[in-house]
Amino acid sequence: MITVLEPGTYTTIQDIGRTGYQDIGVPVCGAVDKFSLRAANLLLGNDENAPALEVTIFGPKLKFNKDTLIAITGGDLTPSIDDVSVDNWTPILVSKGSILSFSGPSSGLRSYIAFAGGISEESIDYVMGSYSTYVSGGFGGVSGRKLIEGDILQVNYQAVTDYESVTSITFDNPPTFDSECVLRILLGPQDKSFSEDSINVLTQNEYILSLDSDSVGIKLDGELLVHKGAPDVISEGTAFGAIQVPGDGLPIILMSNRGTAGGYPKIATVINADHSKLAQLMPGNKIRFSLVTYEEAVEEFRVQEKSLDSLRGTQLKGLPTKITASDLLVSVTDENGKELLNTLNPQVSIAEVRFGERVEEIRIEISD
Amino acid sequence: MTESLIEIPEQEFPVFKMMGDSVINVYLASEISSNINDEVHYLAGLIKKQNWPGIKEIVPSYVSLSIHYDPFVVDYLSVAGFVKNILANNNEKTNSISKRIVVIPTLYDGDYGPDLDSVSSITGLSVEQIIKIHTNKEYKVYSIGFTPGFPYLGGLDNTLYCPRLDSPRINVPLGSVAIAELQTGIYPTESPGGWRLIGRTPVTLFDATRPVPSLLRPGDLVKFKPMTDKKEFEHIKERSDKNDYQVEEILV
Repeated sequence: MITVLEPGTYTTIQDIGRTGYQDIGVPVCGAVDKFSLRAANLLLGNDENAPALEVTIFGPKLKFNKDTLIAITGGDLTPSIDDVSVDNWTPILVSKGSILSFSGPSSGLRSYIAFAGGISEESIDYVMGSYSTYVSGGFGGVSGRKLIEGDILQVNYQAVTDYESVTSITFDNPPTFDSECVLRILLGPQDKSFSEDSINVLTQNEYILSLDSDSVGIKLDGELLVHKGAPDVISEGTAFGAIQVPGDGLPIILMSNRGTAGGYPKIATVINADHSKLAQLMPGNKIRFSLVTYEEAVEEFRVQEKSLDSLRGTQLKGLPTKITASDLLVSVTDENGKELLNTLNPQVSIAEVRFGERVEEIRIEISD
Repeated sequence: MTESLIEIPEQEFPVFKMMGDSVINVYLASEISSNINDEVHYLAGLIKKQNWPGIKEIVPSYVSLSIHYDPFVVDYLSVAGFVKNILANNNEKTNSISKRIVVIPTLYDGDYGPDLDSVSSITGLSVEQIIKIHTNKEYKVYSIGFTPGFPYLGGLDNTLYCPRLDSPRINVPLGSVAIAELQTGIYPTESPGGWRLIGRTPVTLFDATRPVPSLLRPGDLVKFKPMTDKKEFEHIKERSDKNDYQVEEILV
């Protein structure tokens, strides 16, 4: 059991988000920095999409009533346990009676606190396929709101016998969050609705994050972008990272709590590989935009995803128990039914499957 | 390859546009129409039914749909090709199955519709005429968005045309029935809003704890039915809050 002694600036329960309900107007929500949330869970052997605490700016003060293994990732909000500073991006054993607190951001804006075994569903609400808190809708997480003093979180404690080996796991190259950054973008969907010069303006100038930014959208100050015609389009779907430009010519980058539809032209979209960086920007931080190709964007995303594999590998034990193949789909699952490999239309008949440190080659034969 | 796809002249639909490296927008037209909107929702349903690996979510809107996909399973070109195939292999562009009219009881009065007076002076119609015209038509749900369960209803009579409020209200009460330009809508939750409020319904449009959270879905027709007084309103409100009120549905 964990008691919230102080809630911090804005602390909510978040997971990977609410997928599949945007067509009835329900925002995706979920962690703003989903990469960091997933890393925190993986460090503890949790399901990577498990709910955790999203902490913004000033973190909460939490009292642990039982020995608990936790991991803190994301921005560095200077965590300490019983006033002794602790590391981010590694499992930490918090002893019974100890207090976790934060002294404020030193880099980045949002931290994630995951608990080994996950937060028990007794203390949080699962709504439409997700535990994530949607504050303006008033559902998900702890009664659809941010944490307040006196809240209690139950944890599904796991029997960890070998704390030493567990806490020696670290994330080798954790992302760093700087006050100046370059965000890579793909043009569109409405780049053609802007003057030719606007693309140059966007990519050759520095933009500054305005104070008027939150998990719905990040407002930028800087050079104005010019629409060719009226500053609106027929209302359509939105995406995380889409850069919409209202009539005033100043860009707004849409985030996890964005509305599901919008009518402002979107000049470009920040690529997946830079969503984590984007999520950690603070008001006053400086941004530049740089164009990449679709292929580069997907490759960068693949590299980022691969960086989580080292953590994923540590959780796998034994050999896969089920291997199925068809002309379209090859899937390899472990004893828990967890997918190890899944590919469409394999061009190769040899597949590599990783089990922790070990790499096995599996020959796949496709037959009728 | 990617370039040639993007450069398709805009008048040839479908048009595909990237929205980052894991979302593709498919546009079926550049003007709003009821037929095109039917096609959008029909296409969204067909894609869902195919259960294509890597397709994560489909978000239909007025003339377009956004397809969210896993870029490690499928790519921009294969999703576009997949959608083109579906369009080419379906002679039917919309489904002919029957639609339903959902009847929304609404109390039109000065307390619940604080903008009735301004609508009256803009349109030159009496409050009685406004109610008669607003309740006379069936409105189509073009899409649901803005807030959970908010229906964008098209087909408002020209005579009721009013611009949005100059400055939006910070808090529109739950259940407010509103108009703006040639649209009408219902606020499912308390939220900010710039549409003109002409009445209020006691019906619950969105409840996250229901198996089907949104009362309305795209393609539905909505008919507003005038209520007599606050007593009737409160009676239905009480039942709605207890999940004990079934809206009237007419299949057509």
